[in-house]
Amino acid sequence: MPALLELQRSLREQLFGDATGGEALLAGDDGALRLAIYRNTAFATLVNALRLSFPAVQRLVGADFFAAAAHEFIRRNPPGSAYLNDYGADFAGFLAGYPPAAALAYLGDVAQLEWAVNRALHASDVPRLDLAQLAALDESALSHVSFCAHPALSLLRLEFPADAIWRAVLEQSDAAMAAIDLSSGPVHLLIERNAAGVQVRCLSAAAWEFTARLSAGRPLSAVLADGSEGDVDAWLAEHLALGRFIDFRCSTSAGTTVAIGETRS
Amino acid sequence: MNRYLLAASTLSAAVGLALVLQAPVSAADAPMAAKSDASGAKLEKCYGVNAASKNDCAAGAHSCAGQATMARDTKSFVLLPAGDCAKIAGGSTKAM
Repeated sequence: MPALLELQRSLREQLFGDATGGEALLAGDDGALRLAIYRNTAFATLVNALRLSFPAVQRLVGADFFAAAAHEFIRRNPPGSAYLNDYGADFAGFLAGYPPAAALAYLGDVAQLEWAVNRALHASDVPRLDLAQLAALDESALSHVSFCAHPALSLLRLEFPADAIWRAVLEQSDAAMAAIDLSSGPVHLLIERNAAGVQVRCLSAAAWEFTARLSAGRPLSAVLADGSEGDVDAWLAEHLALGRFIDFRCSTSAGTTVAIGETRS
Repeated sequence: MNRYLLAASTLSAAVGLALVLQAPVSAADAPMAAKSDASGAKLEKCYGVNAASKNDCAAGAHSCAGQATMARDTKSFVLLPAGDCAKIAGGSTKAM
């Protein structure tokens, strides 16, 4: 009798790798057939999970191509969690380097956007930052504030107009697809979820840069010292008013960090 | 003005503005960016949020025996993208 761990590892190799012979570990003489049923179920479930997370990518390449790419991805990146909404974080990177898709240089960008949308859809609800707490800080504390971004918030800088492609494809608008100019330059996107659903917004390069640094946890004083050309007060006010931050910290000049906002798990 | 004073004044100005903005916040969108055309409900449908969940085994498209083989051997033919990419100018689908 094989040890349980040995059996589990063998089964995983059989399902996702090229190994054969593991059926010898299973009772009966139809082990290979039974394994194939299991393998097919595992792949069908995972391909379906990817289809649900990347509908625009699937429409761009067609269902057959998507299935083939997804199979290859699954073989290389089996899921690490049983929660399939979390599966596919690396699919965009995989597609960007997938040779059969090399003619579609923008495919990886569209997949990155879809993953951010997926994250925004499934992120936990978190109470927004209470502005009264910020308003109560003294000047010394105010000058050392950094923020914690909402888990649904993503900031993407993409080489291709992935937002226009994504929208045109999901709306099945031939006119919008024909109007896309792939050479229109990089887009600076903010993806978030509000009461109306997931929003994909296009920011100016300066506003995006400011927002990306701030939401990465960099102190406001440092972000301002990086230099920002634009209406920083209005950008920050918008982030605060729309609940893009859920907490803040005041780091002292000694480098230690003190959490001021309520601790939330 | 040093960077810490600048941060303090920027933040207190922004908090004041945010408190004003927040009063009728709800659906009113701030001016920073154009609103997405796709409504939330439509988007959620595209992403299957209202359909069977990913962990629902019924979504696995699989009954039982007789489904043992792969639908297709994906290595036996040259795969080309064959979807809406053909409708996007400059999006060649020729093999490279």
